[in-house]
Parts: sequence; C-alpha cells; structure tokens
Amino acid sequence: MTRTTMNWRHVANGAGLVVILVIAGFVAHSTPSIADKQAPIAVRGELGEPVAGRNILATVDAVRVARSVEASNGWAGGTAGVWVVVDASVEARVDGLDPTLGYARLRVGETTFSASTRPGDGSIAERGMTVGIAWTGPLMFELPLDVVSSPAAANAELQLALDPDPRVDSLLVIPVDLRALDVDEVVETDRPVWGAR
Amino acid sequence: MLYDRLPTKWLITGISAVLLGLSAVLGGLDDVAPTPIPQVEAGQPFAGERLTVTAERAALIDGFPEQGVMPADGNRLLVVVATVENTSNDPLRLATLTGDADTMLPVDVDLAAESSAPTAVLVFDDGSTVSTVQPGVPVEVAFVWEVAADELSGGDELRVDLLDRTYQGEATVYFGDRFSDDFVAGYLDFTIDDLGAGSDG
Repeated sequence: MTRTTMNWRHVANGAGLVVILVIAGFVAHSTPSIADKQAPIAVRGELGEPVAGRNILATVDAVRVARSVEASNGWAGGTAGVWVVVDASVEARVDGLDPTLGYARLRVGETTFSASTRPGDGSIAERGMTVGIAWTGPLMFELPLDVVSSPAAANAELQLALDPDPRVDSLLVIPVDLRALDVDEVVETDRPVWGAR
Repeated sequence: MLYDRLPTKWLITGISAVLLGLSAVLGGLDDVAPTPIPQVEAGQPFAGERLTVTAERAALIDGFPEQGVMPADGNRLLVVVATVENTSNDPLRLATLTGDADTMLPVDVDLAAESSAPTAVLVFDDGSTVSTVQPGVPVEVAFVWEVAADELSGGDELRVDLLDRTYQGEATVYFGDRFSDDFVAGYLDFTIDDLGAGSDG
C-alpha cells in the first residue's frame, strides 16, 4: 500500500463522517417535537359561519369589547382590564363522556386568555354539551386594555374545543380582529339558551 | 522520566489531597449561612415566577354567607387580601388544589383543614369563588382559611409565607411545563384585624 492511497482513505473516512453528521443533524432538527405530534387539529372558520370539528360544532355570531358586563343572571363584574364578549352557539357532535365546553380561549399573539367562569350561569363557559342541541350564549374574556389595542390583537384567534385538554382532537379556530372593535362602557349579555339559535 | 515511575497510588493520594486542601480553603465542613428569606412589606409587590402578589392586610371574619363560604361551627375565617397579577402567558388557577400556582401560607397557625391550601379564593369584585387569573390583568382576591375561633384574635401578629416555584423546562414524561417543588420565597408580617360578622367589612 502506497502512502497516497492511505491519504485518500483518510479523506474518504472524514467525508463519510461529515455526511453522517449532516444526516444526523437533519434528522434531529426535522423530527416533530412532542408538541407537534400531539398538537390539536385546528379547524379554521369564520365569524358568523358554522365550524365543525370531530366532536364540536360552533357558530360565533358576534364579538364585543366593554369595560364592564351585565350578565343575564345579574352578575356585573368589573375588571382592571376590559371584557371581550363572544356570542356563540356550541353543540356536541358525538356522544362523549359528559362533554362540556371545556376549552374556550382567546389567543392574542403569544398570550392566551381563558373564558371567565366568574359570570357563573351567565356564560356558557364549561357548560355541559349535548349532541345536536346547541347552547347559545356569551363567553366573557378578561384582557388587559393594552392587549386589545396591540398590533397582535388584529390577528387574535378564538379557540374552542370540548375537552379541557385539546390535544389530538379538533380545535375550532376563528380569527377575530379585536383592534377594529370599539370599547363600549357597558355590554349586556343574553341569557344562555339551550336548543334555540 | 519521573512521571513514568510515579506509582498510581501516589497520584490518587496527591489528587485527593489537593481536592481536600481546596475544600478546606473554601470553608471545609463549616456551616453555610442560609440565604435569608426576604421580608416583604404589606402593599409591596412581590414578583414570583408566574405571579406578582401584593398582599395588603389580614383579617378574621365570621363568614361570607353570600358567597357560600361559611366555616364549620366554632370556626372562623382567616382572610388575607392581596392583589394578584399573572405575569405568565397563560391563564393560571390560584392555589386551591395541590399543584396549582403557589401563593401563600400562614405560618404557625393551626388550620382547621388538613391541607394548607386556602379553603377558598374569592374575587373581591364579585365574590366569585373560582379564580383563574388571566395574564396581565391584576385581580384583588381574598385568600380564605378556616381556623378555630380561639386560634387567633384581633391584634395578633400573623406571619404569612409567600411560596413560589421556579420553571424547570419542558416536561418529558408528561406534557407541558415543569416546575420545581414549592419553596418559601418571602414572608410578610401582619397585625390581624377582627371584622366580626363582617357586615361592615
């Protein structure tokens, strides 16, 4: 064996190692993370149109912003921020284990807000759902005022799912432009109704 | 060379001696003074990992009948009023269950319940009992514990520990964020105010 062939073999080994490292790096960086693998299956919809997921059907009719809310059950909650009131109609599509509207969130940029349970019966948050018979009523979200007027608020998303943990199931996503809405002083909300739209 | 003839035993003994010597220089087996837990004044914001808590006052009250928060016979309610702001990016439940966001704990008080978690956390504005704090929206809440009527009285000193957990990274076995065990991050001293039946409080 001459000295030249030895050198060529070294170069080939080095190149082979580099190729293997590049492939390993590519695999490591392109493998879906746990969050990707378990992500909710987003079903995108529009305001005013019915959106159907595997187990949930919802129509978001209106979105309002107010400094205070007077709910149908007499609840009048104040907040250091503002209330975003979403009028929606939600029903279950499959018979599950006591389905509820377990996940109702408003996402503005990187921040998420959950539908307040402070209004109690005045809101449909965490309400039990039945197949084919919709609950129609308000959802109240408590947000800081500067978030509602921030640039990210133009691309806010309303997210609805039945399970409180929405991973690997339908998550209805409805875009909402919060910046375009005026901030009212007081908003009165309707009584949640079961079975009527 | 000297190095080649050096017995391995000498080498190990030498290295151990150097390490022990270094440890002796740095204090050896001396007791380390624990980092003092900072005292927080009432009304002073205390920033934890996910919550900023501004505790204002402590009081004793007979009950909150309108909110359905009533102690058992012979007991009263110890209340700490605080403004809580969620500084994370997600809604956060306040401590009424183990594993929830940690907030505060009365020290040297014999609580009626076995758990040191508050019996209830009431939102001041509307008296609602379920308190999820939304990011960036400060809320004034009352942390409520049940105590025997003779356990505390108006004018007593009360120490309250503020608890916190630090972020440890992404969880591996389960899904979500992982936090450390809770630890005392600060404390407050209050003089308890007796509000009686609470009709004027």
